[in-house]
Amino acid sequence: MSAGRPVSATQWIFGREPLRETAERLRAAGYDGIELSGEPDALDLAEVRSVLDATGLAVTSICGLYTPERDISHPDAGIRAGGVDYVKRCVELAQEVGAKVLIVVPTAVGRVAPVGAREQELELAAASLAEAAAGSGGEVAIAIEALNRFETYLVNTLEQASELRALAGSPGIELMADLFHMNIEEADVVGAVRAHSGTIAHVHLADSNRRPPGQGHTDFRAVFAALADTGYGGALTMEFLPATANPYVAASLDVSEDVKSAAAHAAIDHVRRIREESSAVR
Amino acid sequence: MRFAYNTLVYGDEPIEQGIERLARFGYDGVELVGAPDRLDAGSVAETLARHGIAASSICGLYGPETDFASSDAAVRANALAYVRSCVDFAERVGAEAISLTPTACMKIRPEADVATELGWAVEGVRAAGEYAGEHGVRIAVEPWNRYENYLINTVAQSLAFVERVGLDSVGCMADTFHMAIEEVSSADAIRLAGEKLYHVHFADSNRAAPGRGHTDFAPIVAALEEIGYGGYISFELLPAAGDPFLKLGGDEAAAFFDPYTEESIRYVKQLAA
Repeated sequence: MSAGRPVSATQWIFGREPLRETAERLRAAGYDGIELSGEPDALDLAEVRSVLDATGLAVTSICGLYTPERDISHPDAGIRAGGVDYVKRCVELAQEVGAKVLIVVPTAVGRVAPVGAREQELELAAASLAEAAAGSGGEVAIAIEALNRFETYLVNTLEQASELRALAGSPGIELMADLFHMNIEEADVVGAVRAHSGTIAHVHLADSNRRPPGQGHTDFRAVFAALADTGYGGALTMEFLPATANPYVAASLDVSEDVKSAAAHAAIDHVRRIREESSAVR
Repeated sequence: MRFAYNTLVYGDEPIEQGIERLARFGYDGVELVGAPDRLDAGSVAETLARHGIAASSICGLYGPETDFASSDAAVRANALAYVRSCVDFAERVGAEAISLTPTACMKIRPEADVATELGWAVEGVRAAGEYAGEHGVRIAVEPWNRYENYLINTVAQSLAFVERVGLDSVGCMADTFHMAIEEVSSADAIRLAGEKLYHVHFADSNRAAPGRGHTDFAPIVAALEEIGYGGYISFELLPAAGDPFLKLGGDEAAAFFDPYTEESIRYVKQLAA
């Protein structure tokens, strides 16, 4: 699905399925790319290159997975160093596979309260981001992701992500917009996209109930219009999931092949339909 | 339409102050926290009468010790005893409904298999419902979003549960914050529940006062009118936190007292006009 921003899907939502199967599924559904899970130690780069060659998919981005030992705002210096080291290795992975964006969540996913004081942890996150960005060479944007209140406490809105970005103060640190989380946290979803358009480097798409776009109540026509108006040139990456509380557990559930393919198709078909409508209008 | 406000968000403030505030801002009812051990029914009833305001409902609190789906029979028995004590309290203060979610808040995965747990929950809620019916009180089964429980997330699931319970005294509940996450259309969900909709919570998409998020309340109010909903619309607003109870005493809670109490009823009354 060329013409316009590339459409990809994030690898981790397909669970433990081998990369090649996920990539084949996405290629068959007409995707342009894939967002690789940030597991530098688990990925076989030769296999990744072989899969990309075989399918013609690009790697749009790397999705960092922020487990408790990868927490860049944690007051424990050892945990924090582990987080920073992880982010750096993901930046290297992005460089290896030609991805332009690495997603960073500035706490562990699921940490819904500060260990100490929020202000201190925000400062620690900013310092960690600045340190990681120093090694990115400007080729890979570090995109701060705001998750909803039930998955993190530190950064829930694009405005808070923007504050953290300013506090870090390094080039190469940007924001990302995730439409599922924004449905819960933003008072005005489209308004937030427009307000932060200059710094949005990446976009995750799932509907209001985290199903594929088109199966909830989010108005993607208005979202895409705002992205187009503001000159967004990055990828649109699908991140749909079953309705469970822990997203990483959700990904490990047994979901049939049919359901995975149906969701991948439904998601891109909704995006395609809106694009066709809007180009017909023009 | 009749309006109430859930005093849960007033935290440790003495209930007399909350009742006075709601009467002052033109509310018809007060939603009381289901804590019969901490609230004196006689004194609450007296304060309500003095301010000319009713008790609308009881907000039940469901934790690990009051879990209708627990695999521990003693916990299930305790959940039933707790709801019966809420029924007694509701009867004494004149509240019409008790909210009930048949598992523990923040329990996000089953201990046994879901079918078994639902069976236990139906049995327990039926016993609670029979007791409630004998005392002229109704139970409203509330779906919470996926992050707050795994068992009942949508109105359709609540309705299926209520149908299994099979009592006039047990119906559904709809909360617009949870619905903004879980329902494709909140108005359709309300229409689905129809005459089995016994209680309603309003909060905006971000759990702040209606008008402060992006939920369109006009079709929701229209759906309530369409089904002839005769219960209360009770505002349940909570701070933006994974565990809102941690923030109830904090600085961010200040908005939930006078400011949100005043603007919530004004905003929705103007829609319903």
